[in-house]
Amino acid sequence: MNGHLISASKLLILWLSLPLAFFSIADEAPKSELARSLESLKSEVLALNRELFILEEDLLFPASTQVAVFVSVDIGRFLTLDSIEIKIDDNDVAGHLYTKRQRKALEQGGIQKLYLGNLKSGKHQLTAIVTGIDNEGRTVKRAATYPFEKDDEAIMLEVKLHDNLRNYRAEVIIDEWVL
Amino acid sequence: MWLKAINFLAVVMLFFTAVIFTPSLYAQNSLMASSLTTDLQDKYYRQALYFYFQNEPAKALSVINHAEQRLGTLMPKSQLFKAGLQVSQGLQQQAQQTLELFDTNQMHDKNHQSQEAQELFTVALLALAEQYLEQGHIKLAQQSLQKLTELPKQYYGQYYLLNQLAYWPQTPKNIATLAMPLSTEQSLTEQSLTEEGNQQYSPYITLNQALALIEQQAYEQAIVLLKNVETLPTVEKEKTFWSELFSWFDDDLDEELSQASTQKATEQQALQDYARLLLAQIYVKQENYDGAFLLLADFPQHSPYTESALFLFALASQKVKQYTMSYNLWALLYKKYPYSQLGWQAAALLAEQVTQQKTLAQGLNVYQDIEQFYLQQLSSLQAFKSAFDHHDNLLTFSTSIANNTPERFALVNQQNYQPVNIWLQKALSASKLTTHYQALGDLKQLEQRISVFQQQFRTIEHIINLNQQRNKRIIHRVQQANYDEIIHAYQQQRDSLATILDAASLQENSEIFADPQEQHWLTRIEKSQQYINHIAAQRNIEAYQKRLDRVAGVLAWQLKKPYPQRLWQHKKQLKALNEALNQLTKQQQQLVLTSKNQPSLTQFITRYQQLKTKVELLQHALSQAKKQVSSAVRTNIADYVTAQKAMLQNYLLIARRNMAKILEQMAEQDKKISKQLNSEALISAEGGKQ
Repeated sequence: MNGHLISASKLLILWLSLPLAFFSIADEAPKSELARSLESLKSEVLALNRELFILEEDLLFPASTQVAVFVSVDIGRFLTLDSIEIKIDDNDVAGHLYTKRQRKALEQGGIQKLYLGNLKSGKHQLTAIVTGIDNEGRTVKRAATYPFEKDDEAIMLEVKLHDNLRNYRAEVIIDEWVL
Repeated sequence: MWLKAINFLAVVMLFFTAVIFTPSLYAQNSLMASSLTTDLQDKYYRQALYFYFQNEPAKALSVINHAEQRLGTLMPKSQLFKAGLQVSQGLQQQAQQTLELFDTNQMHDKNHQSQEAQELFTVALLALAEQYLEQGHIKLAQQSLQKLTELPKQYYGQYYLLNQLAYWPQTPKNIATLAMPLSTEQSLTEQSLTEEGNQQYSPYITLNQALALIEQQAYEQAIVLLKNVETLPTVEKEKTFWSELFSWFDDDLDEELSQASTQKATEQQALQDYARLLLAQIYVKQENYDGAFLLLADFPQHSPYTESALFLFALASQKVKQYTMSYNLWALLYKKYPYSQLGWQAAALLAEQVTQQKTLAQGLNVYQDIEQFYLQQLSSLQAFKSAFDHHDNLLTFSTSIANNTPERFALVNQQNYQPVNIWLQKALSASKLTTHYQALGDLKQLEQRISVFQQQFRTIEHIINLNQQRNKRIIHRVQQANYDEIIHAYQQQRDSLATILDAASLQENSEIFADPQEQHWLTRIEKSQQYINHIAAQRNIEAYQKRLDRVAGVLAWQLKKPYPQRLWQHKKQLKALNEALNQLTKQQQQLVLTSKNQPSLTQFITRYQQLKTKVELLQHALSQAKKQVSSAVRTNIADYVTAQKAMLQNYLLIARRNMAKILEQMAEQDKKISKQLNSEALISAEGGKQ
C-alpha cells in the first residue's frame, strides 16, 4: 500500500509539472526550422498571389480600357444601404445586395471595389441607383449620373452615399479619382 | 491560459484601426484631396478596411500588398495596418520587418495622425510580443517589448504583464513610460498604473510566483499566494474598450459581449480551481490530509481540473480514513477516465484498498477486473496505433464532421483539428504535437491557395491564347488592306475640298454652295447663255440677253442671301471631316500598334511562365514540408504510444504481481487452515481412540 501511495505522490508531481511548464516560460525556445520554413512558404504564397493578381489585372484590364467603380458610405445616418445598381451607357454592369456586415464595413470607412471592366475610348455615362431604408423605415431610391470620357488612362469612379446635413437626406455623389 | 485570453490582441490592433480612423476623417481627407490628385494610398487602405471589417484579414493583407506593389510605398498607417495583418496571419518575421521599416520619427510629431500611428505601433508590437511568448520565443518577445519606450495608458496593463512574462523569473530591465500626459483628474502615476496592471492580471503572475515557490519548496509562502488567488474577485474589463470595438455590430453586440463575459468568468473560475488544486497538493505534501480533504470537498464538478482534483480528493479521503468515500472515488475515477494515467493508477489503488479492507478473494476479483481493463486499454492503444499508421491524410484521421469551406485567401488554418479518437485527443494535449497539427492545417490551407493559383493560370493561359489569335487576325487584316493608302486618299480628297472652300470663301463665290435645284437653274442659265451666244450672229439677241441677265441676277441674288450660312455650314462639315479623319488615323495607328504588340504579349507570357515556375517550386516545397511535418507527427505519436504502453504494461505487471501475492497469501492461508483442520482431525481421532 505504501509503495503505491509513494508512486501516487510521484505521479502528482509529474502531473503538476505540466502546468508548471505552461506557466513558466523562462526557457528560450529557438524558432524551429519548421516554423521558419512555414512562414517563408506563407510569405512566398502571398508574394505569388500579389504578382498573379497584378498580371491578371494587367492582362484583362489594361489601363487603356480599364474602368473601375467603387462604393463608399459617408456616415450613413439618413439611409441604410440595401442595394446598388451600376449602369454604364444604359447597360447594367454591376449590382450588389448588401449584408449587414458589409454595410457596417462601408459605414466604418471601408471602400468596396464593385466593378472592374473594360470600356472603349470616348464619351460614356455612369448611372448609380441606390436603394435603402430611410429613418422612417421607408424604402427609398436615390440615383446619380456622371458623364465621363475614357481615354488611354484607367478611369476610377467612386459612388458615395453622402449624408446631406442641410436637408437631412442621403444623396448619391459620383467622384472621379484624379490619378 | 492567459495567453489564450489575450489572443484577441492581434484582433484588437486591427479593430483599433477602425475606431480611430473614423468616417468623418475620411470625409475631410477626401474633401481636401478632391482639389488635387486623389489620395490613392488612402483609397487602398480603405479597400483593405472593407475586407478587414468583414473578418477577412487575409484579403485585407492582399489589398495592402497590392497597393505597395502598385504605388511603390505605403503610408505609415497602412504600414502599421499591414504589420497587424501579418501578425494575424502568423507572419511574425515579416511583421517585425515591416515595423522596423516604419519610420519611428513620424510618431514623435505631436499631431493627431502621429498619435494614432503611435497607438497602432504599440498594439502591433504588443500583439507580436504576445505571439512570440505563446510560441516560447522569449528573446524575440523581449526585443519587441524593448522597442516600446513609451505607450498610452490603456495598453499599460497588457504591456506590464507581457513584460513580466518575457523576463520571468527576473524583473524586467527597462520599463516604458507613459506617452501622453494625463490631466489633473486622471493624475495617475506610473507606479499606480503598474499596480493596476499587476492587479488586473495578478492571478497569472501570482500563480507563476506560487509555482516558482513550490519548486523551491517554500510551501508556506506559496500557500499565502495561492489563497489570494483563490479569493480573488472577478475583474471586470474596461467597458469602453470592448464596447468601442464591437460598437459597429449592433445586433451582434450583446452576443459578443455575453461571449466575452462568459469566457472571462470561465477563465477566472479555472484560475481559482487551479490555485485550489495547487494548495491541496501542498497540503498533501505536508501530510495535512485533513486540509486537502476539506479544501477539495466542494471542488466544482465541471472544471478543467476535475480529474486531478478527484484523484487528490480520493487520496486525501483514504488518508483521513474515509474509506467508503475513497473506494467510491477510485472506482469512479477509473471508470470515468479510462484513458488517463490517473484513472489507471486509481484502478490499482482501488484493488489495493479492497485487498486490504475486504477478503483476499474479493481483492483478487478486483485485480482480475483491472487486469482485464489494462489489457483492453493496451489492445485499444495498439488498434489506434495501427489505424493511425495506415492512414495517409493525417488531418482526416478520426474526424466526425466535415470541415467547413475555409476562407479562400486565409494563410492560417482557423479550424482546430479535433479528432474523435480519445488516444489522439490525449496525445494532442502535448503542445508540440498541437503545433505540428496546426502546421499541417496551415500547409493544407496553402495547398488550397496553390490550387486556386492553378485555376488562375488556366484562365491566364486562355487569355494569352485569345490575345495571340486576335493579334494574328489583326496582322493579317493589316497586311491585306493598305489602310495607309486608303487614309491618304481620303486626306487628299479632304484637302481638295478644303481648297475649294477656301477659294469660295476668298472669292465669295456663292454658286459653289448651290443646292441641286439651284445647280439645275445655273446649268440651264449656262446652256441658255451658250444658246444665245450661238444664235447671236443670226438674230437680235438683246432682248433674250436682258431677260437671261435678269434671271441670272435673281438667281445670283438668291444664292448670295444664304451664302454666309452655307459657308459656315460647310466649314463646320469640313471640321467634322477633319475630326473623323483624325479618329481614323488614330485607329489605324492603334491597329498598327496592336499588330506590333507581340513584344508586350511576350512580356506577359514571360511573366506568366516565371510565375508558373515559382508555383511549381512552391508546390514542391509544400509537399516536402508536409512530408516532414507528417513524419514528425507520426514520430510523436509513436513515442506517445510507446510511453503509454510502457505505463500500462507497468500497471499490468504490478497488478499481476499483487495477484500472485494474493494467491500466495491465499495458498498460505489454505495451508494454515488445512494444517489446522488436520491437527484438529488428529486430535479428535486421538480423542476417539482414547
